[in-house]
Amino acid sequence: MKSELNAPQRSFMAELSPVLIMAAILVPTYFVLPSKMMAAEILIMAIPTLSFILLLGYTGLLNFGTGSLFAVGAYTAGILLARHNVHILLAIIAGVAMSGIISIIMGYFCIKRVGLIFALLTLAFNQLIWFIIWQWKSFTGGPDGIWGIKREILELGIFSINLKPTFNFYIFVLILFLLLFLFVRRLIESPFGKVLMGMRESELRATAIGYNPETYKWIAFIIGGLICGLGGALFALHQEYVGEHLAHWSTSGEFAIKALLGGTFVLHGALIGSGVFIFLADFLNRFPVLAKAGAGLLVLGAIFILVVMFFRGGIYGGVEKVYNFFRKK
Amino acid sequence: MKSIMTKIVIPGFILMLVFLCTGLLSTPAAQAVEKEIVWAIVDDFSGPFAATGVEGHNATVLFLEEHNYKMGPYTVKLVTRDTELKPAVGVRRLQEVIAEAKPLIVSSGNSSAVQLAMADIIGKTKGPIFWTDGWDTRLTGANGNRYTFRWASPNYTIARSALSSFLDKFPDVKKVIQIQMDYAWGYDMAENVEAVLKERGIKLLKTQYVPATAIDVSVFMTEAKGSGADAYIIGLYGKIFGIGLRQAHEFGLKKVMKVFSITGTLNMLRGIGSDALEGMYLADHWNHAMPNEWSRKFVEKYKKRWGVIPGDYAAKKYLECQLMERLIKHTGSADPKVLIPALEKLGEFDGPTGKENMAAWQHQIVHDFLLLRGKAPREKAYEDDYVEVVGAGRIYPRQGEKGFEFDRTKDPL
Amino acid sequence: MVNIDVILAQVFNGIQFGVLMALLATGLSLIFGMLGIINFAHGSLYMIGAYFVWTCMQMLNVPGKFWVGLIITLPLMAIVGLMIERFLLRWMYGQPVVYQILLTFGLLLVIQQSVALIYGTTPLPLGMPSSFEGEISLGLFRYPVYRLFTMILGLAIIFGVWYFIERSALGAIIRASAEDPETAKTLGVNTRRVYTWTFALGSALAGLGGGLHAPLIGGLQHTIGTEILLICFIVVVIGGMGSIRGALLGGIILGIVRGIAGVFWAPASDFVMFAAMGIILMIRPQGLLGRGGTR
Repeated sequence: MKSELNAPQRSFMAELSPVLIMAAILVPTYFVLPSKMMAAEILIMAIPTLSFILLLGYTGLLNFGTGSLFAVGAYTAGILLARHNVHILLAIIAGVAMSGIISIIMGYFCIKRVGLIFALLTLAFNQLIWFIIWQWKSFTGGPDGIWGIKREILELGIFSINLKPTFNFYIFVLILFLLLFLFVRRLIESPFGKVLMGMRESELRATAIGYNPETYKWIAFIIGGLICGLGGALFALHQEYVGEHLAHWSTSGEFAIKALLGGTFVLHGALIGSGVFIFLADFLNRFPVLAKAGAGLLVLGAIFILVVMFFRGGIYGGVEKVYNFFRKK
Repeated sequence: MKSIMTKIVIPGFILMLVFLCTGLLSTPAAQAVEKEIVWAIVDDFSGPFAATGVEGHNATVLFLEEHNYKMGPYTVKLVTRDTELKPAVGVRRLQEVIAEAKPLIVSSGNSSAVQLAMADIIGKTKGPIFWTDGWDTRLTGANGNRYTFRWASPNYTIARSALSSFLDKFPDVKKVIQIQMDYAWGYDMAENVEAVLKERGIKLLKTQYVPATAIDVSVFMTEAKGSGADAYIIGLYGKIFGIGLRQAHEFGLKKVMKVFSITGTLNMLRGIGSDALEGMYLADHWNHAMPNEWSRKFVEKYKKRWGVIPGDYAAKKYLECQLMERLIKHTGSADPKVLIPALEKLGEFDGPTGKENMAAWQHQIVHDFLLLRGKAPREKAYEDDYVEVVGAGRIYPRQGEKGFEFDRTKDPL
Repeated sequence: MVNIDVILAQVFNGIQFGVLMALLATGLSLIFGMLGIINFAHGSLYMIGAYFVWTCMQMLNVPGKFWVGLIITLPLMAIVGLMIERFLLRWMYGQPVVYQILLTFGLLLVIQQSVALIYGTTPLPLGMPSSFEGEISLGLFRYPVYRLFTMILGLAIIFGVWYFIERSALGAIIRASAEDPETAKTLGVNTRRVYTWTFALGSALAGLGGGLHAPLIGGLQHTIGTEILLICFIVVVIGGMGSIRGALLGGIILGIVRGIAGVFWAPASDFVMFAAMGIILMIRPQGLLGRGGTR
């Protein structure tokens, strides 16, 4: 790591090129996938996974509250769309903002602790939010969830896009995802990001240099919450339904698993993890014999074990290892 | 640029290759062959309701094998998906199956929360014919649509038919306490039970709501025992049903009051055992010992193919296949626009509980709902002989009763 | 409805459930405290314990086959534990928490779904031994015999394990290997073997808990381990990681809190556990009787 805290100076094109390459890969991916709905879902689920990676890989915080923050975004957008018929972009912004507000509160209480205790506190908060959603039947629908969300035409003043076809929606999600990816990449290379990573290595040193680790971690936590909110709002649009299960701790666990599967120390891990996880879960569900016996979960479990035993850096780390091995030869 | 190559392009292409290979493998010639219809089962195969899901799948396979995977002039392709008992997952699998396989019929499971969410999607996509099995009254009522049909009785019927027969049997029951699941289905059931009790002037001491994930209900049993009620109404389903009935027996509730469970699916009774069931009253849609031709034949065939006695869930899935096959053969069409009116005009037919008929205004099949009594271990003639039928009722919403008709104007077909 | 006998019976329910959870949590806590492993597969060990008892009962036809089954289950579970430790967890010592979680969670799925494939998804009956049916009078109220019995047996086992770890010579070796493995090694302790046997002990305790609890749940299913795991985990966190007395205290507190919530606002009975965990973590991060620092 460089000692200077300046943002790297790069040309506009150099900044944009990885995103363009990603777009060039992701757009055709849509046509390759066996299910057309899956494409958008992979991207949407990669968003909270990205938040998880930002917090774990770059800040050292193990956040088990991602599921509830994701659900807050989904419920906010879902309720606004289903009951108040607001503009789609407005609903997304509201979802992001709401998750941000919740994560400010959550962060305030949790950030004082570190390591496993922090993880468990976020888990407790996650269940608190789940419980509120479950019990507040008049507002959130309780166990019924939110029905009647409609993904329709997005009016943007000059022109409008119909989001109903899966491909259009996929492109819409892809644009947002790439913007987010750019932002996060920029963030971790900024002075702020360098401080975070410095604290991950040694909190004591960061404190000695004069940074207040709690404030920095809190801000990182809130950014993570905002990202989850974006994912949630898009998910409400994607499924046209929001259920309480999104806020349950098992959803948080799922994001964590996706991150670990992909690789926690690199941002692309989110996309790879989410892609492989969703693809596998779906693929295994296709065989009646497997679906009937619930054997998809069995294979998934075996894959987790294999990843931990042999591909510690997740799939990304594994591929990198293989690539480096061949390059050396 | 080298680092970008290693970081993105290579993993990306590997990923795409994997997708491509497996994608090609998994969808061999996805184009629908002419004269083929797709029968999709989107059911709960993992989680606490897994046992029922498998039973329903077996019954469907049994029917299709018998008919050589043919319905009228069409070949039937069976597609299976797991909802994992989560509404969000169920909705996704359903949307995906509709988009990909273009099924004519989607046959689904019995978790009300999942079913309500799925019915909403079916209404939006104006999609395939949807056979649901959730017991929530709204599924063929306020939240129903032109595509959704149901054989399972709604909570309205379950509460009125079975509970009324039970209360008729024991006129000296004056105070009751009930335990219900803290879930969409439980709230609906609790309301319906309350309505029946109100009609009869019976006092409801308390409604206990128990989370579906609970593993110990001793607290509720002690409370019920100390409440001084004359009867305990248990409205549990799935894993918690076994826990509830077993612990009610263990705490000796049968000795101080009548115990009546609103559910009683066979595969769940297997887990509880006759010692606990003895003297309890239960209720179910169907029983394998029903003395009619349909049941006798079905039980025989099912037992031969799968080696076990089927429960109510298997019977209703078999009936669904039977009805659809009959109509497809009759109309010679695989078009929902033809089949839905035909289903509505179905009228009376021989079903698992005897003569049954379709209430066209509601898309609900009207049939008897049974009251059962748990047999003592010494009364049992064979292993699965847990209960005997002691009563039945057939109380369904009447046409015009408020809140039970769906908005037909939305789907003129 | 505020009868003293009902309240007393509810307290008993709380303690009984708490002791049972503590029995499972003892294993979990032991594995965490000694090996530093967060074992998500503990719930599935509980589940296979119950299935082992069922299998033994099917194969045997002797009087008291439940107890025989329970006793046979103990070494079987220890063997399962040995294999898990030997082939998988051995590589996890000192690794980041997230990898342990991913690995043990994967193990949980594998075990759970394998059981579903082998035994099927239909609930299997496991009734209680007939001599333990019925209730016994405890002065003010009557209480199920079997529950009372599991409570006493559970307490005895937890005490036994505590005595073994804290007071016996072998226990001293285990504690030494956990606290200062380097010194223990130089003193000639085979720490590897100690870890393996500690894990086997934890597994056997989980299996025993599963077997004891099985007659109360009305049908074995492959999913019974998941919910119990979470409760055990919370018990361990409340009591303090690695503390056996803490596990017992945490279990009883949780059992009673759950019971009270069940009477007044039943839907909250799951949530109060998380609330209790959150509050305790904020006030006393190492848990009620935990030894460690804030980490």
